[in-house]
Amino acid sequence: MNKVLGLAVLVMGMATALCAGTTGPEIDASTGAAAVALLTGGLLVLRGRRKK
Amino acid sequence: MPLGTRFQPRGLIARILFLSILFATELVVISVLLDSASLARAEGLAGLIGDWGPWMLRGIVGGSAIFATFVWLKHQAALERISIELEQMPVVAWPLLALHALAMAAFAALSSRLFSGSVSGAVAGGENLLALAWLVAGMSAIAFGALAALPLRQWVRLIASGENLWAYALVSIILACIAGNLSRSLWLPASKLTFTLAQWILKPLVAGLIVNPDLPALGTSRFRVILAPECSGLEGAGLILAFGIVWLLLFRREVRFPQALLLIPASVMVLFLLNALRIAALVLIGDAGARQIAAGGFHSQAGWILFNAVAVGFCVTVRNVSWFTQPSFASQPPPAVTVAAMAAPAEHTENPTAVYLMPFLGILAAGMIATAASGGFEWLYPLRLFAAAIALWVFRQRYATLNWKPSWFAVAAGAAVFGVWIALDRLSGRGADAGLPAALAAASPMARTSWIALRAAAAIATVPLAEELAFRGFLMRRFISADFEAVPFQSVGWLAILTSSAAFGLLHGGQRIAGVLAGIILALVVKRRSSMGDAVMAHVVANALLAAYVLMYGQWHLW
Repeated sequence: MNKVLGLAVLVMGMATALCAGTTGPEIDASTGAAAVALLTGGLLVLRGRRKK
Repeated sequence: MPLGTRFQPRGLIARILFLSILFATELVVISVLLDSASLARAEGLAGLIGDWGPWMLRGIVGGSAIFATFVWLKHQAALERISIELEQMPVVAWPLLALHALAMAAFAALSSRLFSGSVSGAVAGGENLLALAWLVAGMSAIAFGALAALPLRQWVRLIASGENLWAYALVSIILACIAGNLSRSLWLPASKLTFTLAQWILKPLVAGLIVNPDLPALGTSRFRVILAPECSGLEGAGLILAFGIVWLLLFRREVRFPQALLLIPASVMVLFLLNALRIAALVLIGDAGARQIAAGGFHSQAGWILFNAVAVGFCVTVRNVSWFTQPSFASQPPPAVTVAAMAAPAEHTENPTAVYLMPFLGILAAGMIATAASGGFEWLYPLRLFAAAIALWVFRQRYATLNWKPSWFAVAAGAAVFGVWIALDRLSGRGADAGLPAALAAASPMARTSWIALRAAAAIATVPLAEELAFRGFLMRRFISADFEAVPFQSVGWLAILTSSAAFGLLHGGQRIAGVLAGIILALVVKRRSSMGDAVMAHVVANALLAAYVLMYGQWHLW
């Protein structure tokens, strides 16, 4: 999980840095929290299968 | 080391928190007061500050965040040792904090002169000298502030504890800032290419397509889109480029090289093409009469939806296509992608993460779709209710094994959460001009009542279940062990509670602080008797009181 969470921090940070000061960006950092949470959760589920 | 069981928050965490609050407050003030654009035409050092100052600032913040995140993730034992040492020392060295304040005062005074442009150009090198003094004052303020919170010896140990991590963070953030700044020069040619692609997509679909390459604008007689350079597709391309590189780096043992590298340019190209498709869809939606949806929800959400789709597609491809996967990993059963497959796992495997996260992810996904299809007011909010209800139904047998017995204490805790929420809202003053949303007021009584009933049902039924399973059931315990279901709630420590509550608060939009505090209360409730039923009951009570408050007093901004 650590790797996926680290990646999520990176994506959110980059989205904020890339889109800072731009009007009407294609990746809207202000609505990014839910999107990054969805991506992070999706990746955790994807990697969450384990042997019984 | 698992979070929360041994890590003492008073040592290192208290200092980093103090420093973050101090620097963040000063950064906000500086960002509001200073406009680097006023130095755009300056030459020499002042011009360099105008061109690169904001990027340097982003670099310092981003580099520190990357370093802190990965040190925390990878080297917690070393952090604990430093933290224990610091327990014996005062949190703040006041003389150094005073020096920080002095340096900040000098920085502010120099800023007002440098950014006002009042320095005479006739004074040889006057502006550059002022810029140099400004830089020295700024750097001194940062250094004194940092040393006030953490002695030099501990800074050295902290940086050394991450081994070469500081160098990776430095190089990656410098490259990101340089690439970010230089990429602006690519915006214009990239937006021309996007414009051409969107035009090709629209030509067979729209009869009277109006094309104006000079603006550049694309559309019909009813709706027109002006393609700003920011919509070139480079933001998404840069984001997926970084995502792909870091994913392959993190999971390099599972991946076959060099063929996996092909996925990086492929995902960049796919996202770039999808951005052109987004522009075309914008025109089609607007032309169909839904101008508000095109310019509102769709415009702000489509980029993220496409990015998430390509990013998940990237990871699924890496894991499932044998040509990209190491044979030892390819032999494992493929991960389930559908909800139904996760609920009925392969014979010898299970996915407890899906059991706890899918209802909440259903709400997030439905929320993104509902927002994208909205033109200001989220008419499709009930989608969130149905998505969560479906996921909860699919996994119902697994939930039956949890402790759902609630107590009266949970009811009182729920009332306390409601009290905190309302008190902070009153303090913020945001509710003063709140009222029934115009779209809801204009709707028929039947539509209005149905929407309110479904909105309240989601708030009282599915949201508490989904959020408690995700944040308290999964995240809080997952910080402690990969086998999170085996972690008793009562053994969860403060750091896991605070971290999961911070994530909970972050996802509560305009009520982030209230969200963090609510998360802490709900975590303590579940910890008290190891009962998910207690946490859900407290959450249900809080949301039910909030729903009643919204409906009785018209405080619609709280929904």
